[in-house]
Amino acid sequence: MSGQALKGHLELLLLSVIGEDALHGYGVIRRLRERSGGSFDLPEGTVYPALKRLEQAKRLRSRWEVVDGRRRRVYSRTAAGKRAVKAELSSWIDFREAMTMVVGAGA
Amino acid sequence: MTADPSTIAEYMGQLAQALRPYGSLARRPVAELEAHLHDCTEELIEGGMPLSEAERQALARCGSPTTVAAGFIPLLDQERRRMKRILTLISLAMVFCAVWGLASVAMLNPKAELLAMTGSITVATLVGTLAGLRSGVDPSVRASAGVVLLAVGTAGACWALLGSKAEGVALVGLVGLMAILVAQGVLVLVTAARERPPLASPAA
Repeated sequence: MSGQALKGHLELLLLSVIGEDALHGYGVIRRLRERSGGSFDLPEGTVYPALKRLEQAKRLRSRWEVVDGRRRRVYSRTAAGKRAVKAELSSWIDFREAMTMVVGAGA
Repeated sequence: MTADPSTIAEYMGQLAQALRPYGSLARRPVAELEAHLHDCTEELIEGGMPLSEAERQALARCGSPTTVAAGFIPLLDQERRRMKRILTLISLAMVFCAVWGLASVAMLNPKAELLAMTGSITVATLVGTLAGLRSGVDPSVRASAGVVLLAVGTAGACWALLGSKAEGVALVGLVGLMAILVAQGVLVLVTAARERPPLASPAA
């Protein structure tokens, strides 16, 4: 799936994969790839601004950690992030159902 | 036009160049991207790829430095505006304290009136000038500079009236100046609260 198709869903995807664990940017990308079975193909550099945007919106928090001798910014979900996932998931389900009705009717 | 980077070092150089106007605020995205590129390269090498090919592929997956920088620029702009607001609030608080302190001295010792008024006008002018110089495109800071200059005018008028020993008028002027500073502080906070970053909706 192209990066363009994922654009509107990126923040929900990131909040979902981060879940309860603290993950660094590369770990987030790897988990996203694994969970989608390799389907999500987006320029990896676009994930970092999205993470920062979520942090500015207080849906994620982050801190520096040294892992394998390299400094990494590690992200974890806040309570507001958890609530956002619930709200956006329900909105996404409505959107998916509406799309299925329209596209399915035309097929 | 910049050539496509072929090594991590070149990539990082181009990214740092694109984010240079943001100074220390750019350090974090640059450090994160560098760690990302090294992680990705190492993973590809572990998978049996030669170093140069692994680096090339890691850079290709990441996207061009210009695209990555473009993603960060609005966020860094927002962060810079927030910092300017904090500086403005600190400046306003300092002027408020200076005026308060000097006014107290002036009321206790009439001979110090001239010193008090001169001091407050100097501080207000300095802050007004600094806020004006640093305003950039931020309307709240421009407004701040305007209101501080207005406060200078108020203080100037009071100073002129002090010649006739009108302490009462001077006191009203100082209270007015402090009220303006507090109002401006509230304006800066309200502007900041309204400017929450919009997140993409699922249907966007």
